[in-house]
Amino acid sequence: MSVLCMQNISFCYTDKPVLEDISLGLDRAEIVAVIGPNGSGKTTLLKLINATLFPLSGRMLIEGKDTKQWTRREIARTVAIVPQESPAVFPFFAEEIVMMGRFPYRGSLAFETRTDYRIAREAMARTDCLSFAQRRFNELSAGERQRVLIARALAQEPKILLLDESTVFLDLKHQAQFLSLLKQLNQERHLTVIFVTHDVNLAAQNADRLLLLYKGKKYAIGTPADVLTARNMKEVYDVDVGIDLNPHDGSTRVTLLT
Amino acid sequence: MLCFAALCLGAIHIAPADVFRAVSGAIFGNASGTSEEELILFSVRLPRILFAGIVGASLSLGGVVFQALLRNPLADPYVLGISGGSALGAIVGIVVGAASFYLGVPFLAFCGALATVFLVFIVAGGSRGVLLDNSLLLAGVVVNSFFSAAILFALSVVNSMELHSISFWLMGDLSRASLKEIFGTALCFAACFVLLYTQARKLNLIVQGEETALQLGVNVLATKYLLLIVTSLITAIAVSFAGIIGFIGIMVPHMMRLVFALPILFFS
Repeated sequence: MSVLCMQNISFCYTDKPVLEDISLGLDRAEIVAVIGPNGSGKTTLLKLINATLFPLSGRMLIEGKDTKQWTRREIARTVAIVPQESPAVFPFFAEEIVMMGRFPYRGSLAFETRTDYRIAREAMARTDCLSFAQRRFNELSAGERQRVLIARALAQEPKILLLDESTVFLDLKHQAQFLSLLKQLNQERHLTVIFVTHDVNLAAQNADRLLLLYKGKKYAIGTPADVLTARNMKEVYDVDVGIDLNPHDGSTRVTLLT
Repeated sequence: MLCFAALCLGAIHIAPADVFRAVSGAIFGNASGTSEEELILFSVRLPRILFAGIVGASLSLGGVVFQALLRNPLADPYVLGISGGSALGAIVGIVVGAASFYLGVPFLAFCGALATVFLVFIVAGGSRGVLLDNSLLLAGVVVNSFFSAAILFALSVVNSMELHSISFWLMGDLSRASLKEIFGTALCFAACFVLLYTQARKLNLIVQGEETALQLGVNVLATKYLLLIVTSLITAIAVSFAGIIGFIGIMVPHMMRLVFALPILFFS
């Protein structure tokens, strides 16, 4: 059974359709990258998966159950998202932000258990943010904030992890660390990962499959080599690219020709 | 300390030593309870001090919730126009002579406050099920200015006796509280406090953004409605008994955050 199944999903905010007739099934432990030009519906697709939005037509099934039938807590224990940015109005400590990832596992009144603390600490260790656990979230740099948000998502212990441009603020070291962490979780816990990115080479190197969205429609789905063709790039992005293989890992490589 | 100072200060000067003697006498049960000074202390000053504490606590609680819900450090329990609505209710009560009934004016002030909250919800589009924070804030400002205009109009047409009691009410007045009312308000406050306490964690998450709260498993809309209703209730109760007391609701939450150097509540 596929862990995530989209059946003819359509969505619009106003009259203009944002997503049209998307169908896709994801297997457990699959890593899928969603690419496409600005405004092609990538972030909306993520919001439909974590039930922040519901499809206007069609069905979004997580583990075979329609997202409309899940409770908020159940969803939060299954799907976690690392957002692009998070507002910081009140000065919470970084570790408090991470502990918030444990909310779906507790009642509103219950205090944090030792397990909650252990999981939150472990998540912070894995994203290398223990050194600023006691600092305020709004005083951290963009990259540090992003690591805190990744730790919060890990603390939710999700089965499906959604990433919305989650590597853009990370420096090279933490980008590498994060990507290897993803692969590790993917192998150990069979974490399913869906990530939105503009970096097509990052997508090609790390994803099993690529979903190329264009004007709200599924333009192409398949292996990086299938999707990242010069013809697709020209039609969707209106750019000329050179395609070859990365000599280091054999992945498809896209080079902008300007 | 402040309470003790407040017991000492007043139109009739009572020496701190006498106050201390009277208070300890009351605590240890050997007070005569008859002297003029004891009468002033226990039936005039003490109730007012207690009442001030409860009203202040209610307004501060309202301030915390509104600052968090609207994600705006300038918010206070009056942002939804509760002060204006209840003032208008109280003025109507004073003008039509509701003061002669038990709890007449507070009751009308309470009705005014509740009516305002509903009005603000409707103006902000609450009936559509969408409660965007800015629209709530704006609707509150709009409704409040409307009530200010109505209050000014009312002030211009009433006679001078009524004007006197109205202006007292508008300034905030703790003197009308009897022990029975204080007890009632305290009970309401305690109930609301417990209810809000159970929502504290969710509130902490809503502060992170409503979408984030949704993603972390909070039923945002239901929580928001509950918080708004409970907070409006407690503010309305405080205002209807004590008049419009500003400043407390906006400042105390910030002062507490400074004192404890902790965000919103100490249990996230």
